[in-house]
Amino acid sequence: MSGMRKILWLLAFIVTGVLLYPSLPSLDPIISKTSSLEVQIRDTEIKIVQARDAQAEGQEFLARLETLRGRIPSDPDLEGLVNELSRRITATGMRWTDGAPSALEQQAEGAVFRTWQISLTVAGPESGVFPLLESIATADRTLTVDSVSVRTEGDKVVVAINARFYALLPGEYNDSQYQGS
Amino acid sequence: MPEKYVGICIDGSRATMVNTIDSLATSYATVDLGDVGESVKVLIKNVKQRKKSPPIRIVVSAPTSMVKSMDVTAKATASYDDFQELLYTALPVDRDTTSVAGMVYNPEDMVGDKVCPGAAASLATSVLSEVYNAMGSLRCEVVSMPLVFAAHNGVWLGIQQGIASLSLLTNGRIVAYRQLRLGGLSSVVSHLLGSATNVKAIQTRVEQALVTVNSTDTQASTEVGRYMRMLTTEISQTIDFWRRQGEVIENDGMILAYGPGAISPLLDDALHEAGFVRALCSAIDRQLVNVASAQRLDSYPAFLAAVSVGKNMPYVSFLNPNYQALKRAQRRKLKIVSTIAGTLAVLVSLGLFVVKPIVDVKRKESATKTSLADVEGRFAPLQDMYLLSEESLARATVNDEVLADQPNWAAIYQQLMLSTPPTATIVQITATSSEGVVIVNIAAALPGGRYEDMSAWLTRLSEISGATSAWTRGFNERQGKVTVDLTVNFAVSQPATDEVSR
Repeated sequence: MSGMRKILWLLAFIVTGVLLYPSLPSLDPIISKTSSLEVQIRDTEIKIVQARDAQAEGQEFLARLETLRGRIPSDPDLEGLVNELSRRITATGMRWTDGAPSALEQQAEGAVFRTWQISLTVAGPESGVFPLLESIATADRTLTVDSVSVRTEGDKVVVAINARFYALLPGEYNDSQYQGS
Repeated sequence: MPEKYVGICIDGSRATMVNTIDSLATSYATVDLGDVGESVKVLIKNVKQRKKSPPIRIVVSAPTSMVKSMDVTAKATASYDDFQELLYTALPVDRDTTSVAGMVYNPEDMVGDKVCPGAAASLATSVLSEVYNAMGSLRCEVVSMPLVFAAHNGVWLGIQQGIASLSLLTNGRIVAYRQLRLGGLSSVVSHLLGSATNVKAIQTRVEQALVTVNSTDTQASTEVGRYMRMLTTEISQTIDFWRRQGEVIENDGMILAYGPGAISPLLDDALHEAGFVRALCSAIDRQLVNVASAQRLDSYPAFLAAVSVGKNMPYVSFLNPNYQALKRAQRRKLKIVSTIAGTLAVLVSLGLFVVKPIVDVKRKESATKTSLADVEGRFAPLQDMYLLSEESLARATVNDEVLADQPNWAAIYQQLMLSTPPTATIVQITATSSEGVVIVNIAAALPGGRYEDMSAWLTRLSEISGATSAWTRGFNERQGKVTVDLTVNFAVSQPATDEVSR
């Protein structure tokens, strides 16, 4: 076989290889899958760090979690809310005269917690207004007040409060983005 | 370390082999299967040759071979072609059918144009080819019969199967060589054979007649005796011729004999009748002490071939006529092998070019899967704590978010009360929070109050921490009763309650 023929054979092999190369199965799916696995590894490592930090805090972490569960419970717990408000109102020397929770508020798309409204009408001495407002602000349950109306009626005042309370439903908080309504 | 040598003598269809350790013969074997190729193959069947073993020297005596002394100069040996040309010039042989070889007795003396003695030999190429073919892949060198006798002076008579020859060696050189017209022992067999066909039986009868005195096979004995006498006559004529030529004959009248016929007492008788004396070469005989005496003279050529291995090379050796064909075959084989190897190399390269990325990607995928399994294994016992951590994060986030714009209602209310003039009576305070701004509307009675009193009240309101503006929406004085409607805006700057951290 002459040298030229050898070179031609070599070229034929190379050209054949180059032509056949694109017909080989694509590696993209495997590469993509591997990248996805690498992301999973990174995410899991972050989870491990997060869990270990919580574990290191121990009882302190668990106590804080319980406080948060009280503030933002997993269900509306209207009965618990009414009981607490009633207790606090009474403690300030006021009397709950009227009030009712409204229906669930319309949630914004992507919101991960639920919001309800509640209206309160409280009557009592003027000296009870400030403690009442302070007590609501420091309630175990998180309440946000939208409006307060204080009206003098004779020797007493009538306080009307529009507020909101919240719940974070189970299964709606893992790996989610938290967005208010 | 002692070296082992092998020498073979080809005589017609008969092959004889002698093994030596250094210059001492250790074994002797002879085979005659009627075909030289077959005989050689059987003879060398058990010969083992290692990479460093010396070649096997084969001495060939054939009817057509010729040997002649010649002069050689350094120029003539400058190349093998030049030397071959000199050999063909010295010998009247057909170049197409005959191969040539030669030797220079003292190559170290060859300087410039100085003439040195040498010898040329010829051999039928067909015989040579047959011998080389029979030797197969064994390394060997084929030389012509009398050349191995160098250094053993005298008149050497060879009585072999194929030929009978006479060589004259003087001063360690071959001076003259002649194949006798009578031929070898095969001519005796031919005479006895007549119309019979069993050659082997006749050969056996001749062999018996050669060694038996007063043989009962008178026909064979008579024929051998006649052959010996005729041989002696031709020897006498030849030696006379050499004398007339002026050749120096050492120990003139003494004959050194070798070959299967040399042992015959009938030869002794014939030589004696012609005035010759049978002599023995004691130097060679001593080295053949391990060979049976009946075979000793027959073993001379093979033995001398063995002990002269490698001497006077390369000229003394006949080139293998198949050498070019062998080389061509080797080159062809090498090309095929190199082409296959090259093709494989290209295929492997292409394979690596195509396969390596796949292997790398697969390997990385496998390693990543292993890493993931490891990480998941470490995470498994922490999963519950992680879920609690996530829950805590979620609730804290919601809590912080909803309280972010929450005003401190109690503080606002307290400040409003503190800024209220003592004479004023609050009728109603309405406060609403929207988008970080708290708008407070105050409706109050200000008995006996004047506009300046309201203005002073507004000033105090505007000085409350967080208040951004304060203004009046109404100042009414009716029947001595003054009522005012005021508005204060607060900017929500801080949450009303302590933040619950995560």
